[in-house]
Amino acid sequence: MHINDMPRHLKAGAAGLVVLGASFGLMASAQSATIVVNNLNAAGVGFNDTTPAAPVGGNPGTTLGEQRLFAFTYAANLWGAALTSSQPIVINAQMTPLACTATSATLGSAGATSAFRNFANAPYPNTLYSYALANKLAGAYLGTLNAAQISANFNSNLGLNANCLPGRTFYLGLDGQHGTNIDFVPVLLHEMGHGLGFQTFTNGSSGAQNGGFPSIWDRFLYGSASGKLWFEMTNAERAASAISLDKLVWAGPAVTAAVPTVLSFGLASVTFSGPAAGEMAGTVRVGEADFGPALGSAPIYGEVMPVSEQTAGAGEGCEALSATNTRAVNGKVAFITLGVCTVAIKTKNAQNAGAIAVLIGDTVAENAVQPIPIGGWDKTVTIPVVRMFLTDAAKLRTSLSRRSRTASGVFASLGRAGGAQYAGADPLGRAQMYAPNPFISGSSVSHFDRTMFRNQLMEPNISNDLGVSLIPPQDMTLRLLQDTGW
Amino acid sequence: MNHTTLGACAALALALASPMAANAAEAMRVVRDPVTGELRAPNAAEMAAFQKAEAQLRAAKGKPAVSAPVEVRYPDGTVETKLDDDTVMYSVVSAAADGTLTMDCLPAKEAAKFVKSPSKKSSTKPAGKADHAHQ
Repeated sequence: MHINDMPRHLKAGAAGLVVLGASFGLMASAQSATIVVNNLNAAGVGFNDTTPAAPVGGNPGTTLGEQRLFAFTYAANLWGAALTSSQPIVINAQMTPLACTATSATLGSAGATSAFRNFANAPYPNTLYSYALANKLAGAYLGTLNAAQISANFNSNLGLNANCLPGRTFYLGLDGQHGTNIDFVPVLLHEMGHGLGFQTFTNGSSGAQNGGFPSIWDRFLYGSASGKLWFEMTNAERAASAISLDKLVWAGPAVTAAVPTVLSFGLASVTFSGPAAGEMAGTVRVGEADFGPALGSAPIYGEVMPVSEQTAGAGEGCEALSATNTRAVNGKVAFITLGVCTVAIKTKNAQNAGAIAVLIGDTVAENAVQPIPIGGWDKTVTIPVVRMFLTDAAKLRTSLSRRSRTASGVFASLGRAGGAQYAGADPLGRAQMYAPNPFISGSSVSHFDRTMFRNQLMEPNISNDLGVSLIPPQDMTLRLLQDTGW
Repeated sequence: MNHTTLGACAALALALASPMAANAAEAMRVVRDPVTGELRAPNAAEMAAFQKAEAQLRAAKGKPAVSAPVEVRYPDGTVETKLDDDTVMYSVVSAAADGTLTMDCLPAKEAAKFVKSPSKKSSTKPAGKADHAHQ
């Protein structure tokens, strides 16, 4: 949800600041949390960069530094409006040059500075809580007075020189109209979420707890294969659970209650039929796209026809479709192999040729229970596009091998018949957590699963279609934090 | 250091805040009274415990990352675990040859590898969206 879709009261809060000075606690109320941003940058750099800038997308700053700080405080304020705490949440923030190449970059980071256990009012003894959450639960400022609960650092060079993803800057507007740039606010919301406690401090690879103590996170992380919560498991059991694909779920009541209002019901699927379907006949699961219409919003049924590569090496569907390809896919479901150009380009070319949907055949084998979603972004795409597993794509290719130029005898129905469960939840309606095999340090366990649809702020991949909502019906991030005690 | 306080329901306007003492924390110490629950100034024993804890903190700041967590124990039984870079999440981005950007959230070590050679990220992240170029 972008700013224009936000409730009016949130818009006002989001646009608002500022109280000067360090009178901690005076701003706190039962309905929100006060967030204190310490700008650590020196004069002239980072948040204090004086390069002139024209106001953009609701960001009124007139220098680069002002716009950066406005976007940062805007994101912090969204969190402040969502959370409740009698204690201020202090973020030490800066923008400095971070690791870059011409084609990749570190955008930035945020994390809790400390974890606490055995403080007054702690719901569970010998359990680690992130600093800001511990302060809320204790109703007091733990540790060193005025110490920051979160440390954040974002890349001040992004897009601004030849060695740092040139031309792809942070979009500092608040309206989500980021185009080909990187929408700063969702990135900030995501990283701040980790700093507020959206993570475990337990090592998912080894299963070892931090200092021998479980995180509050581990009291809600449930291995459905073993029937145990993480804090009840041995190290070996946790390590196995962390790579259990769809068998790692969140057992917190707030998230579970939110699942039906946030996630689409039924796993994305394509059902194949027809006289030539052969081995392909039946229903297979598919991955949805970040762009184009969602499956299930309207029935999609049609004959499948492949798109042939027109210029050798140019990739299937990467050029405006020829008359032959257009005749093949017009009014039909186009089948295109992944590669060479983006799925968005392939889909747009098929759409322009009259296709009603696109099936993308993967070229990489995948160890998963459902194909991964398709990234990318094109708001002009109006037909659905889905990704098929490599093995399913191979079968389909065989079934299509006996086609004529305009007919195949293979028909596809796109919908949500891949399983009677919510997309990104298990059959019992519990949200799935990210548990790929092999383990991905840091990403595994401390994110929602990437198969969630609609896309969630706290999936490991920051999708292009994210807005700024933290609550249902758009998002479950706040609900998860509430399960942990927020 | 500029210091900006955000009230979620505060009045409107953007402003850069006034400077604040960098180490205000060094000047103030409070404890929660174990009996009354009230915050108050520390007594001699508590002050000694504070000083010990602060010495631990100072020592921790000068140390490289170690496998054992650095803990600070407070007089009321609260235990603080200082978190190092291993628990900090990094957002990273890479651009495919076709210009498509893919973003991911990784810990420090993985993020460093990602930025050094994003084309090899599939070796560490075979199941992620970002592994599929040309999306």
